[in-house]
Amino acid sequence: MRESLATINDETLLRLMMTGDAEAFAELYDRRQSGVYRFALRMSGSHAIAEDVTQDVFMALMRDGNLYDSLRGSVAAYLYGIARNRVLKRLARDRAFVSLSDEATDEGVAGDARLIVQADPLAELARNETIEAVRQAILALPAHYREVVVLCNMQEMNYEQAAAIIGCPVGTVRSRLHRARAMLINKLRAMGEAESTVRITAKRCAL
Amino acid sequence: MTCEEFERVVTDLACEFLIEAATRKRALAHARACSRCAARLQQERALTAALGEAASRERTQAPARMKTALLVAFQQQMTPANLAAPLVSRNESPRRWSRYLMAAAAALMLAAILLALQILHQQSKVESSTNPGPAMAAQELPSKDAASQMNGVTGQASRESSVTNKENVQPAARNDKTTNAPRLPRRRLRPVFRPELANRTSPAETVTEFIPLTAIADATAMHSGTIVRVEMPRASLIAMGLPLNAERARETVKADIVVGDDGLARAIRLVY
Repeated sequence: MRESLATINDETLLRLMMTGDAEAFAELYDRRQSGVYRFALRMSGSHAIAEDVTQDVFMALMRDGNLYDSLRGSVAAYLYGIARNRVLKRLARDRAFVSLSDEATDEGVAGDARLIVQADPLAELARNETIEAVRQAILALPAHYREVVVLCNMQEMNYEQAAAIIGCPVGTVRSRLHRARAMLINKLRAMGEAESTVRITAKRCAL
Repeated sequence: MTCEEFERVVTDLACEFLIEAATRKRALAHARACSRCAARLQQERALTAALGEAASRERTQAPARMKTALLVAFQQQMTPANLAAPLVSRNESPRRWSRYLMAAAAALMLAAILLALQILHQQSKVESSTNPGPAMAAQELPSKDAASQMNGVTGQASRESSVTNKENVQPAARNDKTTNAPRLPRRRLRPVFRPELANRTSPAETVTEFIPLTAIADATAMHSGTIVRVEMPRASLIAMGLPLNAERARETVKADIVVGDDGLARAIRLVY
């Protein structure tokens, strides 16, 4: 039974699940929970929120699975859409994260002189520090920029898939990703420079 | 390609997204010629690599206990009773309460409509006995099972895709060769309950079959009646035992209600 379920698509699994097939639900859960969980984790930076959101997503699927419309996207996109709504609500409620200023987000990036640097901002950070710095920089982005980075650059989705989840035009996703990445580079460059300063200061102190 | 044009595609280049081959070739050629844009591309590629690295290190997934808990919840939720009405929310008490309130409001509204109909009916009887006027926007039903008659009528009406409040159900009843029930003499009924509704009908509208409201009244006891066009909240469909799309519960729906001489609703059909 498990083998046969593993070969059928999400939509069929959902249909089976809505008829009360627990194995179909388990298969769909196994298939999609990690993506949903990581998306929620990357958006929130909190394992507790990621757990809550993942659980909410699959509870909502049990309750409202019949509302799924295949014409509007895949089952995965449907699940990510639910997860996105839950995460954004949770973030709005908790307000636990710092956003960059609106002024910064509205600036054009094409002619931003701060981006035109010869040095690689990430090169200033050690490997492990880089990963942590990237995570922090992502969490510091406003939610509507953060989600495109998470979906397109970490969940490996294309513009169309991300647009279906977010519910906006592909062009919006594209421009948001461009701006979000520019903001990340600025943020990481600032972190790299701060790190360099700390190292130089530490060296001078040691001498 | 200019630096400005390069900036527009640098993200796609660095993320290895699909772009036109010619655009990609021109962008890379520009990066080779422009040190500033080359550095920009290098930055973007470094960022892509860092994001990929961060993503690849996160092998986390939901804890195993969550699957167990969800499977238990699934077994509890997917009972046969719940499967019969899967669109209705079962866990969220605020939504459940609001639905009950809407259903109660709809029931009250329906009761008010029926009461008003009865009052008007009584008044019209007095008026018609003194002044039998010309044809009125009322309908006469022969003496037979009201619901089955209505089904026959609406079947024809649906096929024609043209139903008005003034439709006379009698010809359809005459065409029904299968019935041997004696036909009562035709008589004029009271004026229509809401005359303004008679002008609202559209040739494009379609209607469902009449659904007997047997829980409200015994359809077989009906000798004549009136079809009244009403507009009511979709939530009131629940009170009549009809299925409801929970997402559209706040919307209204048009319906034709068959009202007997006694003022009780006998059958309903939805108008789209």
